[in-house]
Amino acid sequence: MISVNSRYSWWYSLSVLVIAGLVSSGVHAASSPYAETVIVNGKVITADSDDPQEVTIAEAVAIQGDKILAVGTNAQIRALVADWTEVIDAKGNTVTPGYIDTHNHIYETSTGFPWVVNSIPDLLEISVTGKTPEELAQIVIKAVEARAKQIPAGKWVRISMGPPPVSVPALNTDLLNRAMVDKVSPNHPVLITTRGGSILNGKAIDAIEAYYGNPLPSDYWMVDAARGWSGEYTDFGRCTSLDLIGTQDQDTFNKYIQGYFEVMQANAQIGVTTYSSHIQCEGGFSASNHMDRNDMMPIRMAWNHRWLQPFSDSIKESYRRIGDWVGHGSDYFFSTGSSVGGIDAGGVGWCTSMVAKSDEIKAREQCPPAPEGIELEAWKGREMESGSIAANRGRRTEHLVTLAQLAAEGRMTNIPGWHSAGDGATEIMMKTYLHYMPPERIRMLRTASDHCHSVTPEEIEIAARTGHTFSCDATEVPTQVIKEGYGEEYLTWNAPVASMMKAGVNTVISEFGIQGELRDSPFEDGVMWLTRKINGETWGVPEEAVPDKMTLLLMMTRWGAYPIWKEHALGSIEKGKLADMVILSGDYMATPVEELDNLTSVMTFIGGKVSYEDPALRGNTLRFNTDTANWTIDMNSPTTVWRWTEVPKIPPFLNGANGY
Amino acid sequence: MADTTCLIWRAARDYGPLLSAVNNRGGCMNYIMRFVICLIQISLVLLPLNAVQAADEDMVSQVYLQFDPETGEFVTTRDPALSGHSQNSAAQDQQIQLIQQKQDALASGQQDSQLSTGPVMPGEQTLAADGMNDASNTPMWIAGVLIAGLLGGVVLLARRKPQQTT
Repeated sequence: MISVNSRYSWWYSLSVLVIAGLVSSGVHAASSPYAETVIVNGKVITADSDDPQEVTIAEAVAIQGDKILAVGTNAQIRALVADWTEVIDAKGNTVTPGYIDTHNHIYETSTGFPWVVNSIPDLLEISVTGKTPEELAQIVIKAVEARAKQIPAGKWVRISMGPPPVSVPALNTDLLNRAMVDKVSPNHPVLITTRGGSILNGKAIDAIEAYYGNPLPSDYWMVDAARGWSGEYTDFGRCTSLDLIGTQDQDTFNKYIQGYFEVMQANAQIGVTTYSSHIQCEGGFSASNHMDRNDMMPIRMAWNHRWLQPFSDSIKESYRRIGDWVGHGSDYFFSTGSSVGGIDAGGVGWCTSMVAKSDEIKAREQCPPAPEGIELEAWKGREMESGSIAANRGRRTEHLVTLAQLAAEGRMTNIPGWHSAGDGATEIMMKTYLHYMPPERIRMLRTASDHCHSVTPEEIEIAARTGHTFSCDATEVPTQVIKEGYGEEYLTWNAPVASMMKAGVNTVISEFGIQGELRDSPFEDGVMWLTRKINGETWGVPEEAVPDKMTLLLMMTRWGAYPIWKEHALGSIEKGKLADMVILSGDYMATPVEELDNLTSVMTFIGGKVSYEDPALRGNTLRFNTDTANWTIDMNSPTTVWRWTEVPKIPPFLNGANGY
Repeated sequence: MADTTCLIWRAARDYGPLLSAVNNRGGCMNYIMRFVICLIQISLVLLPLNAVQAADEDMVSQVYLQFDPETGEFVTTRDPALSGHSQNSAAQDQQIQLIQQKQDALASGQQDSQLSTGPVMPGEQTLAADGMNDASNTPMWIAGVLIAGLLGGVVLLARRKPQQTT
């Protein structure tokens, strides 16, 4: 027995020593004055001020853990270097905060990139065009029949038909309907879409209703389910991809998650470290959450849950029960609150107060019915639709009013960005908020809107008063619509970002990341904003150009953190903030405006870890090739701060919270 | 063709000034009038301008199948409207060729497993999106190591037990 006791005593002493050693080393690491990583010899644009003239330019940054330890001169930061510190020489290049794309549907658009489609061929849509509605309808039926013979029963046939001036009448005039499609495809679900409308066959309706657990709402149908003609198209298009096809089996869902992961990684490679989006279909949420709980979100996502709205006939009830989600989640996947959708459509389908050149053009606008008791400028003299179209658009009004009421009742703390292309859509949004709440209360909500294709001076004034953020994207489409349909005198309303900023409105840019197509630089849109030209043509008016490069950078960083409630953690390079940074391939401030899109990231840090590295600085390569869908992981200089040291593979979805 | 009595027409008949005027002329709206006016009304609401394509709420896909009504064949095509990243379109075309290979195999009844997975450039590692099966082997490998470790531990304990009891 004595021998046994002595043995225990020896083990006990050793254990105490080991534990004490571990604890003391942990305490040492947590309180160490030294950095784990430093970046020196950079031109560090800290974005530490809202005033572009007052932004500090430093030389070096120190990182400890996932946060910034210090910012300063080379000498100041070198004083924080210990023998274990990794020193990265920026070689005179510019260092900026990571870019925040405040509106970008990456989770959904990832299904359209070639290498993702290659891994999930069921995602392929069929494109069909015709010269007349009659010809188009015949070709569509032929295509459905041919495809149904080619693929196994039960697989989706999805047809995108156009051009809209031909395809929309084909729907309207009953040249295409459910019975015709059922006849040639009785065993395959079929979705035929065009701008503003869809046809579903019986199998498609069955599949959607079975998946979501309720009959499709009556206000989805332009006539009735028997005809199969719906006014919705984004809900069907996106949710068949992400939910019905994307989750058809675990292997497919895992491939979707992997593809989504890779598109986010592609964004990190041009310096986008955070994106913000609604999530319209539940597969997008499940995929994001799966990656997050396994610590594999390549970039951060600020999200809001729109998937309660599509296919539901109880918008009001759902949203009155959801509660306040603002801020819920992790540093990589966090909620910005109860979701919103689109008030109007884009292009000619927007909602505006502009006087059109003809009644026909005015009739093409898509304005939802005004809420009861609210007078709207853009609705004056407007011929409002009735019947099923009004009912369909009334879903948006119901959604808007419900959220405004909930915010007014103090039941939610934020209303994220609505899709609002035209000033009429912005007007209904702003005046509904003002109907239910005083400006001070609205200011607390940090309301926002996506796009700013036409904004009136009155709306700029309201935005300044209520703390509203305009998230603007660069596109020439509204300029064309205004010129062709309304008159050049309205061009001053097209993305008037200079006027917004002069009025003190929080103005940010969006969709500059990789969403619909691949990009080589985060500044491709930035050049358009600074020059106010797209392909050599002026869009909007030159006076509304972003005034300078520093302002552009603040729009892509610091100011983008506010509407996602992360200004304390993201958007600038300051002590204590998350270490999301980009080392650019050159000197940002010295590069001529027109050549700014030659600059891109050579090293992207997210949470203090390097998620992308180009050989320019130390000969290392950590990169996903979006053309070949292969990774290059080549560590010539030793590093301990890479986020991925081997090809990242997402654990299978059914592993659930694998990392926990 | 009873479907052409659309809701739009019914609403417009009741509220639209144009159709009200027609009705007031003696309620002579026949089937053809209904059809034509219904078409015009809905087209006015939904029909976009030829020159302008809305971007905001569109689905975005870089690749799709183009149906040829003459041959009845489907050809994988890259969206010609895409402008960004154009210098890499040739490399992306390789992906599109792979998709087309799979489509051709589908048409001829081949299995996916018989097809190549994709081009691998020098220094690059295996295709991640198609590599999910590798990940599924990992838990089996870990389980094997754990079981071996446990067995080893049991053997060691069994050997040490007599020493402790003496």
